[in-house]
Amino acid sequence: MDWGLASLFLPELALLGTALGLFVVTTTVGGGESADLRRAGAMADRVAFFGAVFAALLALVPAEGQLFFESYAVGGFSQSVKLLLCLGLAGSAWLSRGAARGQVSVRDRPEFHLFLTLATFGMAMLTSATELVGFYVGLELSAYCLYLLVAMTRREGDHAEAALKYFIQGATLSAVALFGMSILYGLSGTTSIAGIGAAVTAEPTTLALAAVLLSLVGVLFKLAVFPFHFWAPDVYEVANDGAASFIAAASKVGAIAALLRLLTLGLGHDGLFWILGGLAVASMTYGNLAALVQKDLKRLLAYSGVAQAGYLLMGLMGRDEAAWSAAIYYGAAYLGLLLLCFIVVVEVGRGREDARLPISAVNGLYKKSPMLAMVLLVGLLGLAGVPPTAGFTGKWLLFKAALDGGAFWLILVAGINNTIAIYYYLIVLKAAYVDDVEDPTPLQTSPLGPKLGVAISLAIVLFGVFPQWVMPRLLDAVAAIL
Amino acid sequence: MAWLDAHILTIILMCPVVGLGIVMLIHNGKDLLIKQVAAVSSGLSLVLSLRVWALFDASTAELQMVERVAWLPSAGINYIVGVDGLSLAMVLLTGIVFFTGVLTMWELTNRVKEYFAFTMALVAGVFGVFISQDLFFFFLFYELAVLPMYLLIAIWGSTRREFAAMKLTLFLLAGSALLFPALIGLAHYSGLNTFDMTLLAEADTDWGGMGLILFGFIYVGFGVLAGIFPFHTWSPIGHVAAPTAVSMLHAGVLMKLGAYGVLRIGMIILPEAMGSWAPVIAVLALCNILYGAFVALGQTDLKYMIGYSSVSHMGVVMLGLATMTHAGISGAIFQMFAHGIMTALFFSCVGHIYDRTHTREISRLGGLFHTMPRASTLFIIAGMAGIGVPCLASFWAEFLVFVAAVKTWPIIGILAICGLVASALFVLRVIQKTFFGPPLEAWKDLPDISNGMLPARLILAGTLLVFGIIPGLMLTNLDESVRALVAVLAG
Repeated sequence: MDWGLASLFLPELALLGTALGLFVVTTTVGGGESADLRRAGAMADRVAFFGAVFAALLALVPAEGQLFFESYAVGGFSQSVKLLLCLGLAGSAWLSRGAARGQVSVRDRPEFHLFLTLATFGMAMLTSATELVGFYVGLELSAYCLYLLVAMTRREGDHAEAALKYFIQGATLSAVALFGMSILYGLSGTTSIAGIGAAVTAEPTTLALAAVLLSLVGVLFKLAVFPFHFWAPDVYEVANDGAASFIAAASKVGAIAALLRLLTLGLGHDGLFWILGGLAVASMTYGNLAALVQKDLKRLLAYSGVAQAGYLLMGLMGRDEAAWSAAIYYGAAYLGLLLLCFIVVVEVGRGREDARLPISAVNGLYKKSPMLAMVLLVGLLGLAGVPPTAGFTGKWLLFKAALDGGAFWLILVAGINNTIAIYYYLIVLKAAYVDDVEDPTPLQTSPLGPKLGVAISLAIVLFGVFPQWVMPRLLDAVAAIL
Repeated sequence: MAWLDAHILTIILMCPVVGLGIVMLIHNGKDLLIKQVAAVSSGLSLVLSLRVWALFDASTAELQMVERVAWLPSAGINYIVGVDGLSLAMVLLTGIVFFTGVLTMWELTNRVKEYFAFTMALVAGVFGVFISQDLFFFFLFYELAVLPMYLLIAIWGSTRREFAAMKLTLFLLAGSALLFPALIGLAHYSGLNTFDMTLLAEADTDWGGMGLILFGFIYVGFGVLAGIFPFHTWSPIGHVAAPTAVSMLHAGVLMKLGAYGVLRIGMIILPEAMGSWAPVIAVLALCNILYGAFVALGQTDLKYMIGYSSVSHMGVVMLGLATMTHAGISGAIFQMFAHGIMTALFFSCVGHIYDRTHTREISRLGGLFHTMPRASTLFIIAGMAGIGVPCLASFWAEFLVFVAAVKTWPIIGILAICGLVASALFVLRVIQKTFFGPPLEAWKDLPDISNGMLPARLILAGTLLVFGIIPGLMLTNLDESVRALVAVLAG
C-alpha cells in the first residue's frame, strides 16, 4: 500500500468512513425503545455532519495525481468540486437533523444519512473519473441513493409518486446514457474519456456527435435541464427538506462537474454546442415561465433551478477555461444560495406535517424573524442575479464566456429571461417583506439556523465582490481537464 | 490628509456601505440611533463630495482622483474609480440628495432600520455608478441602485404601491436585459477583453454595424431609467407611490443614472454610433418634453404633476446630449444637476404638505400660503426653477440646451421651447390653485415646516440659487471634459 497515493483519496476515504460509522449506527437500531431510536437518530445527525465537515477539510488540501490504473484523476478541479460537495453534504445533513419537520421518521434517520453520504461519495467519484466505467458507476451510485432519499419521506402518499417518477425517469435516461457510452466505446475502442475525445475529434462523424449527446443525457437529467426536468418540481415539492436541499444544491454541483468532464469529449463539435445552446434557451425560458405561476415555494425553487441550468449551459458555449471556471464558480454560488433558501424553508416549515410549503407561509417573515427574512432576501436576490452577490458575478462571467463563444443573441435571450425571473423572486420577497400576517408572534427558529444563514449570506456577498479570491485557482484547475 | 485625498472616491463609496453595516448591527427599535448613523454617514459623504469638488482641477479633461486595482484580470475586470467634469456634478448631487433625504425622513416611525438599510444600499449603488470607470463595476452598482427601490416603494409607499413598485422594477430590469449583452459586448467586440472604460474609449475600434446595435441597446437599456419616451410610464406612478425621500432619490438621482449611462458609456465609447442615433434621440427627447408637459397640465395630483414634469425635464437632458455640441452637452449635465436638486425640493415640500393634509389633490388644496408660508415658498422656488426662471440653476441649463437645439435642429428646438411654455402654464396654475386664493377652513391649523426640518430644504433651495447666480461654478468644471467629448463625437 502506497500511502502517498492513498493521500489522494482522503476526502473519499473520509466519506466512506462516515458511511461506515453511520452503518454501525443503523445496526444499533433494533426494534427498540423510542428513546434509543431518538438517541441513534441524534448520533447519526452528528456523525454525518462532522464527517462531512472533516471530508471538506481534507478536500482543502491540495493534491495532484492519478489512481486506479490512471482511471481516477485527482487535481485542482476534483478537489474544489469535492470541497463543494462535502460542504453541500454538511449543509443538507444539518438541515435534515433532528427536529426538522419530522419528515424522516426517527427509525430511518441513520439510513437516511447513510444514503446521503453515499450519494456524495458517488458524486466525488464522478468528479475524478476519467474513464467511462468509473464515471457511470459514480453516476448510478449517487442516483440510486437519491431515489431512496426521496422515498424516505415519512408521510404516506405523494412522495412515493414523486420518488417513483424520479426513479423511472432516472433509470431510463441513464440507460440512454449508457447506450451512448457504448457507442462511444465502439467508435474509439477505449473507455478513457481523453482517448474517446481524441478519437471523436479526429473523426467528427454524426454518429459520434449523437453518441456524445446521448451520453450527456444522464447528466442533463441530474441538472434538470429541459426536457429532462419533469421529475424536479414533484421531487422538490413533496420530498423531505433534507433530501430536497441535497438534490437541489450539492447534487447540482456534482452534475456540473460531470458535465464539464464529459463535455471535453465534444469540444471540437460546433453542432453539439449549438444543440446545448438550444437546450439552454429552452430550459431557461420554460423554467422561468413555469415558475411564474407556482404557489409552492419549493416547486418554485425547482423551476428556477431548471432556468438556472439553462444559464449554466449557455455559459459553456465558451468552450474554454473561462467558461469552465465560470461554471464551477456559478455552481458554488448556486450551492450557497440554495442552502440559504432551504434554511428558510426548514425554519419556516418547522412544525408543519406536510412537506409542502406554500409561498404564503413566509408572509410577514420580516416581523416573525427579521434575520431569516434577510437570509431569504440574499438567497433569492442572489438567484435573481442581483449584485453584490456571487449570483450576479457568476452570471456576468457565464454571460461573458457565452459571448466569447459567439452567442450574442443567446445572452440577449438570457438577459430577458433574467428579467422574467425577477418577477417571481420578488413575489416571494413581497410575501416576506410587504405582506402582513395575522399572527405576528416571533418564529421559533433553531438557535443556529438564522445565524448560519447570515454567515453564508456574508460569504456569498464577499465572494461576489471579490471573485479574485477563487477564480485564478479555478482557472488553473480547469486548465488541467480541458 | 494625503491618504484621504488619494482614496477619496472609495471612501465616499464606503460611507453608505459602512453605514449600512452599522445599521444592520443595531438592534431593531433603536430608531434614533439608526437615524443618527444614517445622518452621519450621509453627512460625511456630502462633506467628502464637497472636498472632491474642491480638489477637482478644471483645466484638464483627464480622469482625476483615480484609483486602479487589478480585480480579475483574466476576465478583464479592474476596480477603477475616478471623476472628470462629466461626473463631478453628479457626485455632489448624490451627496446633497442623500443627506437631505435622510433629514427629510427624520420623522419616520415605521420599520426604520430596514428603511435606512435599503436607502444606504441604494445610495452606495448610485455613488458607485457615478465614480466607476469599469463596466463590470458600473453595472454592478447600477443594479444595486435599482433593486432596493422595489422594497422601498412596496413597503413605505402609498397609492397602489405594490403595483407601482413591481412595474418600476420590471421596467428597469428589462432595461438591464439589454445592458447585459451590450456591456459584455463592448469588451468582446472591441477585441480588447477588458471592461476598462477608458481603454475602450481610447481604443481605435472599428465597430461597424455592431456599434449601432450595441448603442441601441445601451440607449434603450439606460434610457428606460432616464424615462425616455415611450418607456417612461413606470416613472410617474413610481413617483406617486414612493415615500417622500424615495421620490427625492428616485427623481433626484436615480433617473440621472440613466442619462449618465448613455453619456458615459454610449457616447464616449461609441461616438460614431451616437452620430447615427442622434436624430432618433432628439425626436424621442422632444416627445418627452412635449408629452410630459402636456400630460402634466392635465394632472390633478401634485405628485403626478411633478412626475410628468420630470419626464419633460429629462427630455431636456436627452435633447442636450443629442445635439452633440459643447453648449448642448454642458446644458444637459447642468440640467441633470439642477433638475435633481429641484425635484428633490419639490418632493420634500409635497411630502410635507401630504403628511399634514393627507391629500395631494390640487382641487382640494388652496390658500396654503397662509398656513404654510415656508413650505409654500420653497415649493414656489422649485416651481420657478422648473419653468427656468433666471437666477435659478435650471435657467442656465435649459437656456444652453435650447440654444444648442435650435442651432442643430431648428424645428425640434422651437417645438421644445413650446413645451417650456406649457410647463410654465402648469406650474403657475398649480402654484396659484394650491397656495393662493382664500385660505380653506380645513387646512387652517396645519403646522408649517418646523425649524428642525427646515435645513434640508434650505440646502436644496440654496443650491439652486447659488448655481443660478454663479453658473460659472458648474460650467468651468464641465468645460474641458465636454470639449474633449465633443472633439471625439466630431470624429
